[in-house]
Amino acid sequence: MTLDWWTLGLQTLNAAVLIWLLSRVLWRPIVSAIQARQAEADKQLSDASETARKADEAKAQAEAELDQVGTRKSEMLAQAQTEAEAARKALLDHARAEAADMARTAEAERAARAEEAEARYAARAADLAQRMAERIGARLSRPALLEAYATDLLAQVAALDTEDRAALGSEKLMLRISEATEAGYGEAFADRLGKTLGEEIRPAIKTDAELICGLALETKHLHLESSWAADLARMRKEVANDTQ
Amino acid sequence: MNSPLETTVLFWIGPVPITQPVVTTWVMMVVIVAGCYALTRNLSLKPRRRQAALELLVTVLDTQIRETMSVEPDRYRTFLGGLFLFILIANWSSLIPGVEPPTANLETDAALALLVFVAVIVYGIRAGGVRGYLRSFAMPTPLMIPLNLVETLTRSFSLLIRLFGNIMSGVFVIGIVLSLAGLFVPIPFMALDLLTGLVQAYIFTVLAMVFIAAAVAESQTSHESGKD
Repeated sequence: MTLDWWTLGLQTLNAAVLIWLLSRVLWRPIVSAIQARQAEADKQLSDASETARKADEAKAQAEAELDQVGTRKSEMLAQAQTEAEAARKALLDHARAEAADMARTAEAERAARAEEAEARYAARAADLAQRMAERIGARLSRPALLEAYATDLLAQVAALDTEDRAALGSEKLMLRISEATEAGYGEAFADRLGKTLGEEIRPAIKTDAELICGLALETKHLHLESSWAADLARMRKEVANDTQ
Repeated sequence: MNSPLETTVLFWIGPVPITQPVVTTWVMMVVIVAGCYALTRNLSLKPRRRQAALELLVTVLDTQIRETMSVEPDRYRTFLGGLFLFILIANWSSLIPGVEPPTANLETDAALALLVFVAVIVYGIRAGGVRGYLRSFAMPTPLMIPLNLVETLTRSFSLLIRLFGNIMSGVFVIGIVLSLAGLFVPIPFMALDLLTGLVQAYIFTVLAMVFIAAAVAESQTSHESGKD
């Protein structure tokens, strides 16, 4: 057995060259590809971490803004509630004031209407009383009643002061009698009046049904009356004063 | 059939005889380099099946180096990976009719063992320096220097003999069976040769890893103890 040194050397060279060539065309490209992918994976992981960190920051910021919005919302709600309460109170006060005004106005109107109605009722009652008195007067003894009024009128004349009594004698005098009585009644009363005044009196005599029953003396400045109508007017006035 | 211990000279270049294993190795080198060039073109970040297979090969090799040598594989991947591929392709070249695998030739195996022998020295010196590497022969005591020197030579020689014996015997057996039995009878033996070729390439490479790792570790230890 012999060893071929040339073949040994060539094969050694061949193996060394092949190992060197494989390092160029096989190992280095594959390792480079693996390292490139590893670097890319690291980069993407880093980017993902960065993105996750930014997302966390954005989430925290959004939550903070949400909290602020919630706080602001609570404040606005409280403010709106306060304003609404104040507006409600103001409206309520205004409504109460209006209601009080309306109540007062209604009360005043009601009182006025009641007063008016009472006055109206009083007037009607007076009218009714007057009509009843008139009817009652019509059933009484007319001559006796007329005489009573004549006596009363003469008493009024007698009660006049001197100046008024002088005026009755000097001025133009009108005697009104409620109804056509027997002939000469007016002159007879004039005589009685003259006796009362102490001088002769001749008044103008006139029949006036509005007196109902009674007599009246009138001059330019003096009016004396004693009649059923005058009594009724006086009593109506007194009743009206009483009801007020 | 020629003796497996003889090499056939195909032609001469001046005084240099070009034997059949050398020519076979040249052809094999062209095929391997061209194939690797074709395979590693257009590698991308998103690997397809071809690129994934290549990266799996590198990953397995790196894992083997890392687990066997307890070092990062960057410095050793080129040499050990190239050694493995060379031996594997050379062993499997016997499947091609008429081709005798270069590793069935004593000079080729001796060349590979020689490369491992040199690599052990180079990596040892690179790890601990010349003095550290030389001092590692005196570990643990100077009395071990002769034994360590003999061990360095004999373990490389064992690589040579193991690979040569296994591959040559396979080729020899197939040749004998083929001459005695006929055309298709050696096929099971050839299938067995596939396994043998893979196992032998693996064993050769792993032993080279172990030898280099031992040299690196001892050299580093000697270097650090020399500092102390």
